[in-house]
Amino acid sequence: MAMGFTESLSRRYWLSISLCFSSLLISGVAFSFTIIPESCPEWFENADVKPGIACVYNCVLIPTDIFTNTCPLFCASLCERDYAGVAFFKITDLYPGLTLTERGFVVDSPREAMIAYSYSWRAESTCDTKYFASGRNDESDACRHFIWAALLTQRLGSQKAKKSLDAHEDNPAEPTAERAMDMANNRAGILSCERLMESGGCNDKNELTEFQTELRAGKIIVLKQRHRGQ
Amino acid sequence: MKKFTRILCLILFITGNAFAQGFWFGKTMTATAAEAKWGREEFNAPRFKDAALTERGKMASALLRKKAVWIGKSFHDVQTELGSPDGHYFSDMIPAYLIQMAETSQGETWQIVFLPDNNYKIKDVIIHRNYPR
Repeated sequence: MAMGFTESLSRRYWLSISLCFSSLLISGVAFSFTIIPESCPEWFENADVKPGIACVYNCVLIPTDIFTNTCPLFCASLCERDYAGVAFFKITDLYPGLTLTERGFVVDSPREAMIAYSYSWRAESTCDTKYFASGRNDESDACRHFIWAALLTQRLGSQKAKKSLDAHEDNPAEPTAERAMDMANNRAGILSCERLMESGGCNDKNELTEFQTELRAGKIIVLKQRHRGQ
Repeated sequence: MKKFTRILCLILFITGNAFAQGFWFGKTMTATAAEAKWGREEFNAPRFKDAALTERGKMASALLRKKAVWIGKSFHDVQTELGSPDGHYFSDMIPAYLIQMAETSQGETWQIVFLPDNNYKIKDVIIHRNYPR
């Protein structure tokens, strides 16, 4: 008997879901056959990271040098029995541009990491209402960091917000001045939200107003003025 | 109820896929479309580094057509040749260079983005609409 249209698509939908999970499982097995650089097993053993739960998270935080700087990329292979950690670490392969510390943060605190990720989009959308471009080291960049930090503070509290934001900034390739700018504006956003929360007003609209006030007052760090400091 | 569930799954599947496509890349542009929009000039890295946005736009299609030369390079390599990035795509790590800036909320901002692989090497180059998202 011929299958109905929606019945056929419904079956294909569930089939695609099954294939998705199967491919994750297969890739997990395939990953176990990845060739690990020679220096990495010794680097891992010397750090005395225990296999099991939280292994991947602790592994990506191990300090590296010129001979071991790629080893954190192989933490999922080096860790045994940290199945959840390996799975979450593999998921971070799908997100471009995460620092290694951020990837570790995803493993350690997946719920907070997802919140941080979705709120980064929200901050960008909020700042888009003021600036018509997402730039770097300019007022729009400062806005994104300020608003993101404020929203995370409102949702997760200052400590967890700072942990997430610091993970994002832990990029050894970023110039010192740029990193300092981002961290200063993150701090300003956290403090702003803490103040506004006392009156119950830490939200996107109020934080954008606060940002503009602080920008005009010279309290926001901007390395490249593009919008005349507005 | 069964029929409703199937229709709901179908809607979720279609919207999920549509969202996923927009989620990962946003709106992008081909080299042909870039040439039609901004014209075409031969790509020159030192000139691109110091060029105004209008000049960068003219070189965009040529850069995209020869993107193979960038594949496998590091972020540092890109920045050494093209200068400090001034755009933003997903994260502060990914090199992005503005080639058109919106002046009002009705305008569009475009950028060239050097997408990384999991080893932080360039795996693709795209022309991406920075605003509106």
